Amino acid sequence: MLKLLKYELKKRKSTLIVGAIALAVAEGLVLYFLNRQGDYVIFSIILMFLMAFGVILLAFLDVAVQYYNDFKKSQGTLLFLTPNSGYKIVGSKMIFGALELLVGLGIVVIFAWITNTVAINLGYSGVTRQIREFKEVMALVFGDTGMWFAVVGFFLLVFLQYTASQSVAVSSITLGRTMLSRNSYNWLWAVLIFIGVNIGIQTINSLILVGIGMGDGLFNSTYTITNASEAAEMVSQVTKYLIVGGVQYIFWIVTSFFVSSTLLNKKVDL
Amino acid sequence: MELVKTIDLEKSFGTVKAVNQVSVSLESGKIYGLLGPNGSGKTTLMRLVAGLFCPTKGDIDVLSKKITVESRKSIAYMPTESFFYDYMRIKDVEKFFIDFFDDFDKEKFDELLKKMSLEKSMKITSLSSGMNAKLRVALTMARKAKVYLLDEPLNGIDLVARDAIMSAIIGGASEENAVVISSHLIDVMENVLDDVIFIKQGKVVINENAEEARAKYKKSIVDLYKEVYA
Repeated sequence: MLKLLKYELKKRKSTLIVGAIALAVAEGLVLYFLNRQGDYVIFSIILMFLMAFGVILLAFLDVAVQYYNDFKKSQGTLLFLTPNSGYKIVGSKMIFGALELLVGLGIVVIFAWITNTVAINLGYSGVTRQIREFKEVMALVFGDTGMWFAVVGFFLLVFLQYTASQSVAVSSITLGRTMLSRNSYNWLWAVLIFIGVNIGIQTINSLILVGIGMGDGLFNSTYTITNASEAAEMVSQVTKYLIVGGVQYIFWIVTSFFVSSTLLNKKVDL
Repeated sequence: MELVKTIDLEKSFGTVKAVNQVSVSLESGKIYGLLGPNGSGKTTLMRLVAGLFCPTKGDIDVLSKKITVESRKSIAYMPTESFFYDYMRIKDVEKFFIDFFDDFDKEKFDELLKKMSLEKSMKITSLSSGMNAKLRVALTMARKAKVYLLDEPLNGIDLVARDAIMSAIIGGASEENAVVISSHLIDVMENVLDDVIFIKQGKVVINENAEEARAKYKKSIVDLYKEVYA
């Protein structure tokens, strides 16, 4: 598996370097606009959002396109000729995608911290005050330690959600290839499967969350915290939804992995 | 010793049967010629035996076991087209083979590269099609596999390079392994083939010892080929 991951990295070396440079340039622009102050600050905020969105999108596209190309281009033969099972091959693709996303989001978080520090130094009291107030409210509800658990839990959930999307994309490509192996439009088939499966997954996830009371539990209590017991109730609700949400995404990741790997072993023409 | 056996093997793409009811056996100590014009089903049959395609019907046994991913450890398949990543140099491809194939013989590879006048520092993208074919043959024959499947190793290769490639293939053949060469350049290969398998529209039409076929049909393999595919 480690060897497969090594070659996944090697073939993407140039793309990842370009991506890292693009992120660094974007952060440079964020700081530049922040420094110019006035209306330019809005560009900084937009760029920060674009960076986060770009990392998620690029990691997703990279995983999907690389995997699709392994089937479509002759270079894929080099990989599929090796005595590696579908489990190892699909596993390496999914793990690499998850790592790519994790590192990308990590860089964005570091850049956001740098931006925040620069903003404080430049005297942007409005934004920094809001962040401080947000932290104070979070600390009040969750406690000092609990606040960091909630923040980490939220980021973990976002990470699992987009990793699940990558995994569903991988299984959609495998399914498309299984159904229409020699058709030049099997990419379109894969896209349609991806959209269909995603709608199905989101519907099931939502039904489960509503079923355990998310609708009238979380949102009502958000606005009615007036004492410690309500805060404790809020913490318990948030923890429950974070855990259930996380388990759901892990379930879809594992299901996608087994579907893709089994098909790759037994049904797909390579 | 029987290394590979296909039983009523079929592979369809939509309504087209690329391989149709093929039952062949590959034995150790032999060089096989898988012969037929373009589109006759040679590549599909090779990819089936290499484990890259899934049969529509029938079975493939490798070393007396049903074909699995593990079978790829015993089969060295050389595709007809270049299959390297653009970032690679020859030394990177060598490393890739060392990483994934336990039977890859580095010393033999070095020897073959020398014979084929290839340098490890060469970039894949800078190789001519002839040099690329020589590299593919060197990589495949540097493995100590039980079965070698070489798909059109002489395609687009000049006369001098052909000799180097044929020499590498013959040098790798032994009593322990079977070598299958697909080609439509029968004249170049006729003298080295022990057995010939003629494939036409996915079906095996002749599967015989080359010497016996010459005696039986009173023709050279080249003439027999012309007659079968005329």
